[in-house]
Amino acid sequence: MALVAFQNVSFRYPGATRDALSDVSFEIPRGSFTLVMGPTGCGKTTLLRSMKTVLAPYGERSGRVLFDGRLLDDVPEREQVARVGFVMQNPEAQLVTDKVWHELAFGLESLGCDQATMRRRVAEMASFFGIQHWFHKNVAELSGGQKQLLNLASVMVMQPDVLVLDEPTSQLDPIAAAEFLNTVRRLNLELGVTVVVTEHRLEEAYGAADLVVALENGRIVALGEPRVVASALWDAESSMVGGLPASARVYFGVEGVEGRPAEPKEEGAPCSDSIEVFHSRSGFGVDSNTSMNCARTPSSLGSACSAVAAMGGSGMLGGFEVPLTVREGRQWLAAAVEGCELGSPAAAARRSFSDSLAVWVRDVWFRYEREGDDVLRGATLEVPSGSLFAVVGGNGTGKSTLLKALCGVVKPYRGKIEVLGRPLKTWKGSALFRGGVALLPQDPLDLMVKKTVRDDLLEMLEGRGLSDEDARALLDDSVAKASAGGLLDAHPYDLSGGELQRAALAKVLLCQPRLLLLDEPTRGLDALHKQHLACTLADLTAAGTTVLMVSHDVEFCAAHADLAALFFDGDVVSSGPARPFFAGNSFYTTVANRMSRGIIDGAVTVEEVIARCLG
Amino acid sequence: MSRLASGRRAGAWALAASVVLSAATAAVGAALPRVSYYLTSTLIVLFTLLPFFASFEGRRPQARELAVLAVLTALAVVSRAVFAWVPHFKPMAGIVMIAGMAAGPQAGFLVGALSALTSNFLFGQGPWTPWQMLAFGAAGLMGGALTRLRLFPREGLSWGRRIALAVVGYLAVQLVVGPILDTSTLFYLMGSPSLALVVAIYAAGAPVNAIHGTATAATLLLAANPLLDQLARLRTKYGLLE
Amino acid sequence: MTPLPQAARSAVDGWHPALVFLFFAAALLGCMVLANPVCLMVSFSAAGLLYGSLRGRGAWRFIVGLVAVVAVVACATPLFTTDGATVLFRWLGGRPYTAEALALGASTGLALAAMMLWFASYHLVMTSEKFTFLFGRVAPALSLLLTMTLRLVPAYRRKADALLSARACIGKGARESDSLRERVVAGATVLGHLSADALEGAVITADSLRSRGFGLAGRTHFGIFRWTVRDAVILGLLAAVAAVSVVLMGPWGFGLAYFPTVVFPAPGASAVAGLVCYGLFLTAPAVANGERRLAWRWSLSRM
Repeated sequence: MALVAFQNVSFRYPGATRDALSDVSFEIPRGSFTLVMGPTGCGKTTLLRSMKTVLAPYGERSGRVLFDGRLLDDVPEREQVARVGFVMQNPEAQLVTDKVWHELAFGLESLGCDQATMRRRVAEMASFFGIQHWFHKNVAELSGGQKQLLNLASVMVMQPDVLVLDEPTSQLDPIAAAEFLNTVRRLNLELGVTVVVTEHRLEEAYGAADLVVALENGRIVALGEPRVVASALWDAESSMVGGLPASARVYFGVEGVEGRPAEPKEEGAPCSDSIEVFHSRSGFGVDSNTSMNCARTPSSLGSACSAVAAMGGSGMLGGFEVPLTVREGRQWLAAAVEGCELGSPAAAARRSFSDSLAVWVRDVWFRYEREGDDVLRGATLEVPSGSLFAVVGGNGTGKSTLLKALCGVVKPYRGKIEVLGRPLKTWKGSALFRGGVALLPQDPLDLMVKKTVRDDLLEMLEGRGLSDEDARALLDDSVAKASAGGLLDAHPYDLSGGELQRAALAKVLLCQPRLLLLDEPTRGLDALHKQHLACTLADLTAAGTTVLMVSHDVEFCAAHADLAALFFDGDVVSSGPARPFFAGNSFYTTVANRMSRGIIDGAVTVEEVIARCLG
Repeated sequence: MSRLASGRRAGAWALAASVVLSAATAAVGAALPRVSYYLTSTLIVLFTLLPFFASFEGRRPQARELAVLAVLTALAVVSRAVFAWVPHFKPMAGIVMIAGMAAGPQAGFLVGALSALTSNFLFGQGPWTPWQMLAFGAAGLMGGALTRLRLFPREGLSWGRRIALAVVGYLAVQLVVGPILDTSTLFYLMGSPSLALVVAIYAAGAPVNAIHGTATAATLLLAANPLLDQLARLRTKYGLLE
Repeated sequence: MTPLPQAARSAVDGWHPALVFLFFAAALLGCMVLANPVCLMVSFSAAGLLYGSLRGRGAWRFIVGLVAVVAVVACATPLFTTDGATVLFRWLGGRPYTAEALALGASTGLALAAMMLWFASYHLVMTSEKFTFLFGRVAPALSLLLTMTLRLVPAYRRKADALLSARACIGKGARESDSLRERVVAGATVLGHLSADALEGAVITADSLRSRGFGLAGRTHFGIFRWTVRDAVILGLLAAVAAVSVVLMGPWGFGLAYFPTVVFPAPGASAVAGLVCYGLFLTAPAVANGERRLAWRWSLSRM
């Protein structure tokens, strides 16, 4: 019997014009790993929250949610607290107490367990999660990844039957995210806990799932085994294909080419008209109807669900199962290209840059605290003017500090920095931030301090002695460049991640930077918004702005950067033109490259692999 | 409503106990000449805090109330850090008053008292701790009274109102919060009753309190509207702090 | 010499929070009630020993500072209290500056300094987790509120830093050249943003509390602190020593009459014995720490 069953569930928020969930029916089998996927605003969170009464949103509801054969609302709160574990997106705000040990015990305290039981369960979970080393710490000392693991562990001590995870890794770096998902998988495999998870990082999670639910506009558009759903989405020409694992996209691109339109260009697509369509159609308040490619009509998706459900789906094209992991992808690719004539590597349209440097950093040393460790250790970097330069590397290697050093906010105790051809020290007062440098921080919300986006933008124009006309022109220009047009009257806290970033970018562009610095610009963005960001950045560099970004997002950097560097231990350890750079790395490289390495050499993006396969 | 009622009952009992205990302490302190003034006065301060704490415990606060009060308390504690560039600028009393305006006198007192306690967890507890809890609790209580008595609205203050609020804030610090803190200094310095010392302590405190009061007024002038509006948004959106 | 790890320095850290709290409460009460200067000297010295055993060499600066406090309070008291028969000199048109007031001031200052010194050690030993553990049963809601606040404070500090630095990186940072008004306005801007962020977080925290069952009847309290036999033994010994000391000292310990002349009753044999017990009581944690430190050094020499 299914552990959780949704029967014709519809839901509408008060005052909303359309249903957030519409006639959703499916069952979550006991012990399964269920993945709920869909674009931002498709109703994933609403669906997940409907699985716990105290978290269920307020609004018009119809249909039934059954838990263990009973109507969920009839299951007493005490039982729900213990049996339905819920982990939310924000690692920080979910924490309650100041100590790791207390956080772990909190749920058991609520349930009224005795000391002996609490001690045993807390000890068990701390051991399972490897928390014993930081058991006595303050939660403030933990990294984001550790905080989220702690949130998971604090739910697991109550020994839930089902673990509901709402985009648990969206605020984590890729390594912490992978660790988190691995832990969830272990819980599923080793303890038999039923898992329901929403994710937009599907690369790892997709292959792990037993059941995939694809939502769009509050409706289920595909449902079933991962390979089946992947095929269904491909058949329905859904925009969600762009979020599938790289191996599956290569597979579809190669095997599914006959009689079908080419795979939508998710990564590395040129800034085509389709993106412009996206601008005008989405405005603000992400309309999940919008698909990246204007040729695709979302209405064709509605019927896909029933179609898939009816035929059961095969998940096969060309007689080979859809590969979902790098390993499966390599096996399939090796078989697929055997004896085939491979296309030659496309001559990289290498952009050439002027000799002038936007950033020149020599042997820079810095530490935050007198007694602390050096964060920058002889950092050296050169960024040519007009390039899109990506710096990749792990957490805490000093990447963000380097950006702050370029703004003069962090003052190195040794070494030299030149920005836009002038030593940093010779920029006086606010001159550096007027036509010089500007930094978009990791959390774009950090920049938004007013009640509306417009007020926030106007704040930047104060005290600059601009005439009304000039100010208006500058404002319009920045808003257009960042395509923040429809967002001006919104409250920053009401914007989605992608919208927020556009608004913050508009604010940063009001500094008219010739050197734009970006700290983790793709964190928390779904595929659609990433693509959009790439176009904006391409336009900026085409107009002569130098863009230096630090990022964990190897896929994004590989697809869009001109030049790349690897930062490690406070210094750049290697750098060069992006394609060869990523093709030469074995870990800091794209999934497509890992999948094709040794079979098709030198291919970095999904599109390249497909193109080479097809000759 | 039973929660509220049980909170009131617990508060009433504690209030009665507090009055009796305070009176007894004062009597004993007066009767025994060698018992330190500081001990007697501090015990009375602790007994004064008691009814507020008891009635809060008694009504078993809900998750949302706890979460919002914790946020307000922590904001009051941290607020000094964002004004690090302004010398001698202490915004805590102002934030506590705003919290009181939004959450009511009792919650305001709690936020004030806990802000003082928490801040001392970071910077060191001392003989001043109970007195600071009382002083900042009083600030929150006064803030709560301002809206409870409908002297000020709970959001969207006009310019005139904000200036009036700033004046009230200044006076509250100059006349109540500051003098309570000065009284603690008086009691741990006073070995024997001395009018000269009393005058000296309050006179020395006055300019310090004036600076503190000015910072409070500035905080209220600039932060009251944004913070009250944010709290109002929470009230309408999530039903917090109704 | 390498600095010792905390575990090697402080045996008191291992005491049960209730025991720690009772000890400090008793020590502070002693400062206020046992106002005999000899008792205060004993208390100040014992507090200094404990603080030194916790802080190592860093303790000196604070202790010397407190001695200065005693001196200032002593010298200042005669300015306000003119009682006393022994006039040392007259000032301000004949106002007497008396030796008795000076003595009173010294003892008041000593009491204050001893209290501050005990509080300083209390701050190091009685961490927030012990405090909230202790009051978790008596005042569960308040202690949870305190715990939640203590989590938020460092998080907001970090957020405030992030906001300030984000603004600095677009040229909106505070500068030396800013006027006072500009600085205050800039601070208020950041504060407004911090509070907006914080209150959004409160909604999530409230959900998290409810999701994990806060509000269900019959809540229990988890503590990593266990009341052990050793705690009971230490409590028993300390209570006995304290009781004996008070009984033996009797009224002698309560202090002196300073006016019109200082009457210092010579301590009898029982008062001296009581004083010794008082000293034993107050130095107990410092002695425990010292023993731990020696044991640690000894264990190092064996490795």
